[in-house]
Amino acid sequence: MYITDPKKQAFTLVEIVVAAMILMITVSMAMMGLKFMMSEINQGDHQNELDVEIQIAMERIIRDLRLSTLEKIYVYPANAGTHTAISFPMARDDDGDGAIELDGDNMIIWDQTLVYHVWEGSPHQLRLTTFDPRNNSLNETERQEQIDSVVQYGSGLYTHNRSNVSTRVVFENLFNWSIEPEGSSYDGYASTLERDINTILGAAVLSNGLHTFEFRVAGTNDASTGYKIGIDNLFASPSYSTREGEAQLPVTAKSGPDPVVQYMTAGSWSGNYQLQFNATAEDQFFTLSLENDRWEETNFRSTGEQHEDTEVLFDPTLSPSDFIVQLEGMQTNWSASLQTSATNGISSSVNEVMGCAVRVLLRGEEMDEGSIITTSGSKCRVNLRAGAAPLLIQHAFIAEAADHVSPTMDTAASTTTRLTFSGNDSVGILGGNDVWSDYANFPIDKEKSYLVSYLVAPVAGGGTVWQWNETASVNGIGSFVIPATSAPAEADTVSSTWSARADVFTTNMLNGIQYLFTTYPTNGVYTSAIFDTTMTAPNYLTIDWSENLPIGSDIRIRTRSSTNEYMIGASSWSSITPITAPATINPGDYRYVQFQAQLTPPSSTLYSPKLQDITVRWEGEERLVDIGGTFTKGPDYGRFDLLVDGEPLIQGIVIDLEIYDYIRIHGGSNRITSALNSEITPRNTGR
Amino acid sequence: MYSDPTTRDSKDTRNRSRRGISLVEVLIAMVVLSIAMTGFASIAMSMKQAGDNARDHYVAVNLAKNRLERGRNLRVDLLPTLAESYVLLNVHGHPDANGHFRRSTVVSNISSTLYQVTCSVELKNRLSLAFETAVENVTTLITDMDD
Repeated sequence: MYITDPKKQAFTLVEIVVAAMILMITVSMAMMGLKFMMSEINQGDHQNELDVEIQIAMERIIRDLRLSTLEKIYVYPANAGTHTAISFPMARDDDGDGAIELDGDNMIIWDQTLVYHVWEGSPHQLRLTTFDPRNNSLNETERQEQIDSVVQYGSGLYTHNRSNVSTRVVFENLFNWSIEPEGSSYDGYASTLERDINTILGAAVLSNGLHTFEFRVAGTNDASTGYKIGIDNLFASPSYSTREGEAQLPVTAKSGPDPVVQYMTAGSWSGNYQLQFNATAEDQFFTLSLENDRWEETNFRSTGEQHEDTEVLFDPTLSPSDFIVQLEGMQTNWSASLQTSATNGISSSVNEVMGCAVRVLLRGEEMDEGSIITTSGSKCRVNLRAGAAPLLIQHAFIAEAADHVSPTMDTAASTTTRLTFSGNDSVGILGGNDVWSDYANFPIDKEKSYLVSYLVAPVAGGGTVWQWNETASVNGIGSFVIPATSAPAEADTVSSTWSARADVFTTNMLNGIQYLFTTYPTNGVYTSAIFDTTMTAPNYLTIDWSENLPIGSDIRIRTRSSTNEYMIGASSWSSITPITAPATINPGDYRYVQFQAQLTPPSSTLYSPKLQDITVRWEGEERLVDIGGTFTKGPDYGRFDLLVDGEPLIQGIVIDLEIYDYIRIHGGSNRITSALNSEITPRNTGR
Repeated sequence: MYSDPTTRDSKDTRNRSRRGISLVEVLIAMVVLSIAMTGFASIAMSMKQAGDNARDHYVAVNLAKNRLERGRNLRVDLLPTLAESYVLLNVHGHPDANGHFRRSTVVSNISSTLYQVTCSVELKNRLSLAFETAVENVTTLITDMDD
């Protein structure tokens, strides 16, 4: 018989098939990768084309506008916040001497009128209509009529000087285009109530100290029905710290109604407050005084802040209601339904636990399947619930679990504390009812776990509990029970070593313990976010805060600074001496600053101190600063101007441009956009 | 008892021809496949990151140019107030504590009416979320044409 030499053996069919499959998969993967890469390259190329296209267009507009004059610019529509067309004159160097031509009075001879405008079609186009030569005899009304007609008809064929007009498309696929002329007012009109977030109105040079900010009604959009001004917040200093509008009241001067603190019931920021000026006519104004520079923390909701047994709450009892920092607690911080995932529970059989000793494990953060206890507190009370029939408890105790990680039926030594009910050891609970124990001087640490034990009287008609079926725990541990047959006594109930007994059984029913409630902890700490003053060596002045202190409580503030944005190298909090009242501070003269508030309740721990707001001040440096904020827009909001120290804001003509294109990518059509924003000031003065 | 060696070899040969794929072969195939997939994924990720990075640089340049344009709108004697260091901005150029860009402006006085303004915009690394060495610098000279 012929024997195959293994050394000369060829590939088997299976091997070839497998190899072919692997090759196919590899090639498929390679093709998919290649396709993905090609799509990315294609998208990148299109994006680059768009970016270049928008850059060229913007550079052209900037070049044209820069050589024009502010005094002869017209926009469309004439009286609205968002303009979509601009008309301005241009001069030419006709004789090639490198300078534009002047008339006999040394005034520039304007040769052309350029109109950049939108033609709304499919797609939208940005067009440039040129009137060359320019008709310099047109008056202001005719000039406005000219731009209005160009916008309406898409060209200059139906308006003044139409015999000298030409129109070309700058580019198609226009997505957004808006123009804000120099010195234009902020237009608060919108068809629905909305919030214009983080808007820059212009710039101003601010020196150290107080500055006046005058908000003056400049008129209304044609579509608006009112003159209101709404300010949610402002930024007006080199650090760009956000300051709540309503917190800047009272005004230092005004004409018209008093600005008020307005509670917003509608709009995207309903539930918050703003400064509202219900103006009724043009030229009414109000003036705020703002300091350069300071950090006003009023909301305590910045990125990076840290809480240790504290929380930020919206306190409706304050006037005006506001966010505060207070201790976390004085609440139900554990429930049977949460631990077992059994929402409602059921009644046990009548007298099911009669004469039994019952122990229930309350799981803290460190326990397997834990984190059911949500807050710490210095005192606690427990809620017990009877089943359909009464429950008569002779003794009840709470203790720390002997093991905070693995479920256990044993308590930690010397931690057992008696629970009383209106001063009594025993309590009878009617069927379907529940009862709270008295507050026990037993601190709860949310990271630890606890065992609540109780002895049920061996009395018929007094042994029915409410039960929650433990389905959330893998171990199925609801309660530990010493049966009535063992006739447990008080000593058995309080014993720390139930695991040593042979008669204890485990049930998946969590018996009778419904809630755990804690008072406030004896101490809580709020550490602020890190604030950037943007100054190399700020001279810190004071720290000031508003607080609500129940008798016997206090708030201690620590402040520190660092050259590092993450506060690396800053003093440790424990090394800083706290202050209990507003005072001058000396946290160092470094750029980044941070504060920490330590909250201590009264000895009863039934009340919490509240930190309402806090302000850190330092000497501001003279700097050009963008002025802006978050403003309200709505159908009855008007246009306003902002004057800083009596001067208008520095602001050129602002042009926003955004274009788009569709590309096929990953099997579908995808729209990509390119946006550019520029600020330009025409240089020629006409001379 | 001895068996017929020819018969035994014949049986062994049949068994060899029927054998499956060995664990080593499967593992080698998996490794080859993994290397190929990792390579393609790596290239694709690099492409994506390069695209995002290019876009960030484009935005950074425009933020710097806008800052210089703001300088051109100022009176020359106010140009020193343009100086700033590490101001955090969002993609629109608005101040933002969580901004993706960090702008610094340096104003140097060359003569009483001639200033050099340099704006540097740093980019936050999209992976580490830290400002690293990537920076766009734009410089211009500004003078008072009225003088």
